[in-house]
Amino acid sequence: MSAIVDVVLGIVTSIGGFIEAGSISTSAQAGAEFGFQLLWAIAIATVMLAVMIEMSGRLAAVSRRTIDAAVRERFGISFQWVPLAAELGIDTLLLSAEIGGAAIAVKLLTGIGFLWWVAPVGLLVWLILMLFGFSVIEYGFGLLGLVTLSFVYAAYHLRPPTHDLVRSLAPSMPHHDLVRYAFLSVSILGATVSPYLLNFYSSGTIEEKLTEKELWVNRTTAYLGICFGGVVSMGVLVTSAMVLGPKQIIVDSYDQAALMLVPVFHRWGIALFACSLGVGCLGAAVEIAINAAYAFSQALGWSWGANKARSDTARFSAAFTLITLAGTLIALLGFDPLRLTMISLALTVVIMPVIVLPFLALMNDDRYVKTHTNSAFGNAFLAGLTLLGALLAIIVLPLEVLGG
Amino acid sequence: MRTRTSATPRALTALLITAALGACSSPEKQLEQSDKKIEGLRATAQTIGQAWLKGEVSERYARAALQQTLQLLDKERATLTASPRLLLDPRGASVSRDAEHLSRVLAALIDDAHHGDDASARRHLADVAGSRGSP
Repeated sequence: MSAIVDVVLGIVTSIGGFIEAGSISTSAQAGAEFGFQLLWAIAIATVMLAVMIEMSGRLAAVSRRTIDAAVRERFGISFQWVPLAAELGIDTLLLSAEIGGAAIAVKLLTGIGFLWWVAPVGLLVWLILMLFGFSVIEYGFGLLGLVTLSFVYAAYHLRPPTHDLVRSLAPSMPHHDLVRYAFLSVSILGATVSPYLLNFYSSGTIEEKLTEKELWVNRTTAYLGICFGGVVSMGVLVTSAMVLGPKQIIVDSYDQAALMLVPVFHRWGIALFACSLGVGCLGAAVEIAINAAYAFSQALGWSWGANKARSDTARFSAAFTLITLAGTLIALLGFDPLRLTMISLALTVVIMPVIVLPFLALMNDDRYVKTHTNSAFGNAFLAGLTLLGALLAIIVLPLEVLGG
Repeated sequence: MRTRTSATPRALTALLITAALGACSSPEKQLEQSDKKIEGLRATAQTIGQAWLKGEVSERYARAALQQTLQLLDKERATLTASPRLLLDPRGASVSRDAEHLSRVLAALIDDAHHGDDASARRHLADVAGSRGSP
């Protein structure tokens, strides 16, 4: 009975926790500029994330090690500095983008400039990390995040043509702006398959003491939760395509993106968008900060755990304090949060092979996963998409940045 | 002997060539992009203004969002004025004039939202819609 409750809670919170700054901004831009045409990118990225999340849970449940701890053990600390530095660098950028996103959400509600809210949001992130355990962090934000289902309702309410939606699930070439289309595809991949999610999920599996016998819980939660979560992201894209696309509004700020819910929810539209953005970004900021502390502590062999007393994990607590401070300071520099998010996401895809390929090696090592090694298809699917995504990101990122 | 090329390398090559061409963006292309962005900002201003008049968004949001739109417009204008070649082109000059006019109307709309002046906002919104030049 308890396992079934875990599965249901896991699925519900995966749906609620799916949306954050990256998924809202990429889906809103993709919908406004290319209609439904980039739905396929969300579909592929969602499947890729579900596969990777299932693998990271399987590795942790069978080996009793997180990804970072296993990489350190298998390849040595001198190798691990590379993925660790890449992960921490991207985590810091993403964290500042999420803090900026949460600050923008408060700005949408109050009308007061977002920079005034950056430091309070950073402080709130730190307080949540100091005061709460893993379950509150994961389930609390996941449940609050169910407000993002308003995008799915809006998309349904606007009655998009089903035939066009189905057709958009197959990749197709754009009629205009190929570079922009490729950049948005890469960003959608980066927004969905954030590397921090992998180690965060495997650390959560250890924190929640999931065992090899409960692999079905991991599998069901990962596949169903993530796939339903992908539907929320698609809801953002479809709503944006139906509302902002026909008006030819190009989403260059969250203020513009917020308009997508107004025709459906009228005076509640902006508030619902702000709550979705705020809860999503705050939840993601907390997860990113704690994951950075997990990664650092596990690589260096420090005591770690969100469920332990902070006094027993002083260095772990110092790690999330420092990264939260770094993320807040970068956000305070006043970069446009939406642009920072988009660039961070593309960079995420660039570094993805450095994190995914060692992880794949572990998933084929029977000393770690015993008889639960990956299938050849799973390996080829992940390795192929990761390398292709990184190559594409390396090509389009400079062009997007230089092209403004 | 090479008998067959797979689709993926060909698609990547095509993307690389397009990307390289895109990097050397022509004034034509830049102008087209600026015009598109300015039209997007015009549509944004109209949508915000209309939603405010209908009571669908608060005055606070309308003011902040219109200010953000004005900032984006100023950035786009700066891009245009930074390139003398674009301004010498008659279409570039027209887009620039359009953007400047839109800037002024947006400033007036922000003031209307600040004072809660519906009638003046309606007039300015009509001006936003009618101010589209012919680049």
